Amino acid sequence: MKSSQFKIRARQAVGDADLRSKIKKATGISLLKREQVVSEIADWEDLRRRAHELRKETVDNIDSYLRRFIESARRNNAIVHEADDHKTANKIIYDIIRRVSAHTVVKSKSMITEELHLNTMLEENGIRVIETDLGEYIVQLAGETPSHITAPALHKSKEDIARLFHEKLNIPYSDDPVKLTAVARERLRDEFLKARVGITGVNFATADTGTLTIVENEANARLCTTLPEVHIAIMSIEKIIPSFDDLPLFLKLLPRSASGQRMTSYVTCINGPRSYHNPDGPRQLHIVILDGGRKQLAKHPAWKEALYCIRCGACMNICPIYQSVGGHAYGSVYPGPIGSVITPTLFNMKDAQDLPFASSLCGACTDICPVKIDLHHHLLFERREIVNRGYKSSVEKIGMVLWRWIMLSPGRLEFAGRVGWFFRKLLGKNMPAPGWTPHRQFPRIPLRSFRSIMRSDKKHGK
Amino acid sequence: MENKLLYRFQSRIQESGGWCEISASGDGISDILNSKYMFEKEKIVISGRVAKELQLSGLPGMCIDEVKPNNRRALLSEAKLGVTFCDGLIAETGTVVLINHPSEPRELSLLPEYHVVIAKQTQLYESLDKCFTKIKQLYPAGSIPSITLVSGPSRTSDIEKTLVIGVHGPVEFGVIIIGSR
Repeated sequence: MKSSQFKIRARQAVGDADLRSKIKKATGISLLKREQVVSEIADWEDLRRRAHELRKETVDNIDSYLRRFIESARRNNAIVHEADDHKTANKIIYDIIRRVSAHTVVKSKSMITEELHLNTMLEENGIRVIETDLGEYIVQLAGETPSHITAPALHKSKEDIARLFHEKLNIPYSDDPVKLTAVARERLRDEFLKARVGITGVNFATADTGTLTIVENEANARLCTTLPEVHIAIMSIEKIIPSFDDLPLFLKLLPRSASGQRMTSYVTCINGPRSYHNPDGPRQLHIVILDGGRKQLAKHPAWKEALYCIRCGACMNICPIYQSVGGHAYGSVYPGPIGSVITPTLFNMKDAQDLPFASSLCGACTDICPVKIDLHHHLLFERREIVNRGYKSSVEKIGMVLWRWIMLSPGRLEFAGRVGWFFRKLLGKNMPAPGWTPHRQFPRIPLRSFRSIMRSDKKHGK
Repeated sequence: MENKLLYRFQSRIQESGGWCEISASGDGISDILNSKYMFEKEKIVISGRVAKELQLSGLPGMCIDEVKPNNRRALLSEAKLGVTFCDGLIAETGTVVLINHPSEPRELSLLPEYHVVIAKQTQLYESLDKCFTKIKQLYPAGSIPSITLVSGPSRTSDIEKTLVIGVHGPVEFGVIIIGSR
């Protein structure tokens, strides 16, 4: 799947009424629940500002915080690996698994492993990967990718899932979410008890104490970090926050923004593998830290803000474009407004050149972001960059030059208005405007222009 | 002040699908457990801290300290109810703070079908920052064990945003606070 096919996939999604209604329903419920728990916090704006400052502080000094985090984590007896790129990270992870001769790994939800295409790589090398988050389990059974960063199976109805479970797991058809969940619990519990390696992502890594914090509701991350002998935690460099003392602030913002909960059912703060201080848990804790172009991005005066993201998904839920096309259309691991900011700047601007245009620039994403990323302005600035790099077609360029030329003179604007009016009159409803008129009617152009009404009003002294 | 915190904690826990009862003394706890759960003694496993730190003995069930570490996982994956102590209660979010402890392994609050926490009213904090500040004072830097925050039963909304209780962790979560309203 590629971001370069955004337009094609978006058109398909918009035409799929069933998909649209599923997405609208799911995002609507999330927004409503969020509103309830955010409105009870009087100083929400203040918290957002503080969080923004802390994210800025970390990203501006990412090298020094990274050093500090690694030192603290090593003091906690964790084995820390640094990977400059995706390939290196995958190799490190594969080697750890091979060294303990494991053939199966249990895995909890993690966007960074999606970015690494870790499952594909491990499976190509003969290692069975079991996704244990219910949504991820569904998506994995279907052979798909997540369509939302916190609700991976958001694009599926319960009937879709019932059919999937019936076919893949050989169980009687049932579309009762309670029954479907019970099936997943039973199937996966055995895997947890047997697995020797657990893989998780990380939500926050605190530089002063080396603590890894994982936020979840199902307890699958708890199982992944408690039962197996080896825990591999994978994170990108920007997961770091300065101090353990900052954790309560982010734990106030993230669950409320992501799932409309005051706190998720479980938050696990890991301070190292089994040791004198830590009587249970895995014997080995590996932390794999991926750069993947982020250190470079952190130096950009504006786009570094993309690294402030704490992956709550609220900007997706509120975005009118996301609500219409869903996550898969973006063709990126990270969909929605933040995905449209990250994908071109972190991965490939040429491939993802359509994404910054997938926005009405309404600013709802910026307003809802718990760390105050100026999302819609970044989208606008990325558009300029895409034009400056010459990715736009010459037809569009000529069009824009012409537009500018017309808009700079009142006389030319009036003349252009008359030309438009003439063609509308001539062609009626068949006025062609590609990309628009196949789906909507061309608006009626009034008989008299605004300017001519103004002129005659003046003449009659109104 | 403490009463207000207690009341808020109780309603937060209930809102997230758990239950919370207040017991005037330690004596009432057996009764609460017996009225809710009718499992055989072998199916109930109790943290060693409950006896040590709450001076509570005679609860129905077996103490984890009496089980060899190598046998614990097998026992707990068959157990119905795990009973633990805790290291703090957060009123703002209805959260229980569990710090890793030799007599209170993480599996005890994770593998059994039901999880009940016994706590003292004096362990109530208004917010998470206050509790974390306290934890940092208790443990020297670099020696804080792992911490688990529990705010309700295991849950998911991954299928059409329908809330389902009990995915991979305990299907029921309850808190008994020794204190008075």
